[in-house]
Amino acid sequence: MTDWENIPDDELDAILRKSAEGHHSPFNESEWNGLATQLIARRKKAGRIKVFSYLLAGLFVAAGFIFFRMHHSVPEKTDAPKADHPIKARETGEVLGSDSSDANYKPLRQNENPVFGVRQASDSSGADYKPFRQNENPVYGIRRARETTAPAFTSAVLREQDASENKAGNESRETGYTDRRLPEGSPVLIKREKAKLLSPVLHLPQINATVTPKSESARARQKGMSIRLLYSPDFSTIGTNKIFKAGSNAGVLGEYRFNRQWSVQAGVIKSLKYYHAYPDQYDSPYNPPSLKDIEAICHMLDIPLNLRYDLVNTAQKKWFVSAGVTSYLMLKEKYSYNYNYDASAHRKGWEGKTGFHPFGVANLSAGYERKLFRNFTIQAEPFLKIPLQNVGYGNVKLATFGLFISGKIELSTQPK
Amino acid sequence: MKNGSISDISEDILKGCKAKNIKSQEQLYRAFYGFAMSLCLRYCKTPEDAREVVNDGFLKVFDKIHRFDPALSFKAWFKRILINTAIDHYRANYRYYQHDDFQMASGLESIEETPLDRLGYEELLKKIQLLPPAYKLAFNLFVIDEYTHEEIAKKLGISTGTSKSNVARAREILRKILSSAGRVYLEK
Repeated sequence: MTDWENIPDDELDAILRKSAEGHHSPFNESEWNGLATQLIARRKKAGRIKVFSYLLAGLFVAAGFIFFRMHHSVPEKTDAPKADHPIKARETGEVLGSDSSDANYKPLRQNENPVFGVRQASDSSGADYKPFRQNENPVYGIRRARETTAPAFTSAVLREQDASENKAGNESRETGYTDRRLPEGSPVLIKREKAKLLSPVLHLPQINATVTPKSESARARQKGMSIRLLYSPDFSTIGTNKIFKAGSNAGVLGEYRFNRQWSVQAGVIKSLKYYHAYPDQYDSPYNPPSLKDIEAICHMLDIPLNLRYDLVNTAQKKWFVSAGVTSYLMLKEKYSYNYNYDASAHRKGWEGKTGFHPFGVANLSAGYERKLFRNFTIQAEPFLKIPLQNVGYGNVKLATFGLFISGKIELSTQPK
Repeated sequence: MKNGSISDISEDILKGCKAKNIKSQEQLYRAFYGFAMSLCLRYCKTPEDAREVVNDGFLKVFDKIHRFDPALSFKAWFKRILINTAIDHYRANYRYYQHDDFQMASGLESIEETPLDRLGYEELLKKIQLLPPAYKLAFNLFVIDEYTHEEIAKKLGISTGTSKSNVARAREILRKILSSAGRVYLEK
């Protein structure tokens, strides 16, 4: 019988080492199946990360391009020959009114028809161009320009045009410029635009307007960048499980508007999610039979990429729907395990982070946006996040809903 | 295991694993699962923990197989990975183990007296599992896997003195377990 109490250290070590050597646990088929599933999931995830990286790089390039365009507007007339007559302006598409230091400036003579420029510029086809009759009222726009945007416009030109306006009579003053005089198919311009269009022909230095076809002009007005700060309560669940606590979402989104209807959004939302899972929904390597349920607290970054469509878009309000995908970057995950009986030998939980889950969730939302100030709007946006992939340590299909309340600042100052 | 050879892993499996071929990965898994599980059972508290460490270890191997030098022993390389994974796992779950140390040890019956030459792996495992986690880790590393105290200190972020002390305490407890006729009570 061995005297275990008094056995020397090296002898004890040798016995224990010998016992450990050469032992091989039996192979377990189900273990490999679990690992194979993990390997395949990791491969898919790697593929999604690659796609995400390309998309992110593309977004940066696009954002850089937009930023450059916003801050370095290219003069459009550089390549076109300078038009010294309004007719030439029509033919060449020259930008009018941008040259405030024109040395050749001369006030118009009384018989000159300053409206040529307007008609020519607004008529992109030019096929049905007809000059205005002498008694038509070309001056209305000038008056509007003086009243609204050209305070320094007090030269002899005005006096000449006022005289012309008096000839045109009361009718034109009261009813304004009548678009029926324009050729069919010509864009209908509002008065302020007419004023802007007229002014370059008269070489008004105060008005920087470009004469462009209407469609282009409208598109320019609807483009622009904005920043949204948002907050929402977070209700996350797996299937129809109970929601044991509300989390939160707070973040910042950049938004670029392409036109009246469409815009794209991307950004970062710091998210705190609480959810509850049952063992059959929680697929981790550690899942003993006595496990009853799991309570999860997850801190993560939600990185959305959404496309928004405005159903109603007026100066004061917008109704919209939006859809897209979200990627999760897990910052901290904490899972507490509850057992069916007192299982002190089992783990009480798991803490850590499982990294990046690209395009794991689909975003759907609809909302209402209201203008408060010139460049500031608020909006309410109920949302639903539908799981596309499994996320987190437990590989769960996590759905989330809530209501984003956000304030939006328009960075570009183009009128809408 | 021979140094300077690749006798413990076939060239085809190695090539396949480098190409991320799932069949080759399965072959490697089947070939080394028993070895890996035996090692991890010594380091981990429960079989579930050991399985998790084994799978994490294999995932690391599959990810880093291109770093493996075929001139060296695969088993030795894999063993280092498994031990490091087990240590990481111990660190990650340390707080969950702390509360159970005394409770678990005090509730177990002692092992029946065993002849010196008949101490099997399962019995060794049962005895080692009675050690507090920090002692078990140091004991496994020093006595079974033959790390030096300096290496242990570096790996666990402790002093060499603490490592020596932990191993000495582990031996003391194992002696008591092996010789005790009644219940075993351990103090932290």
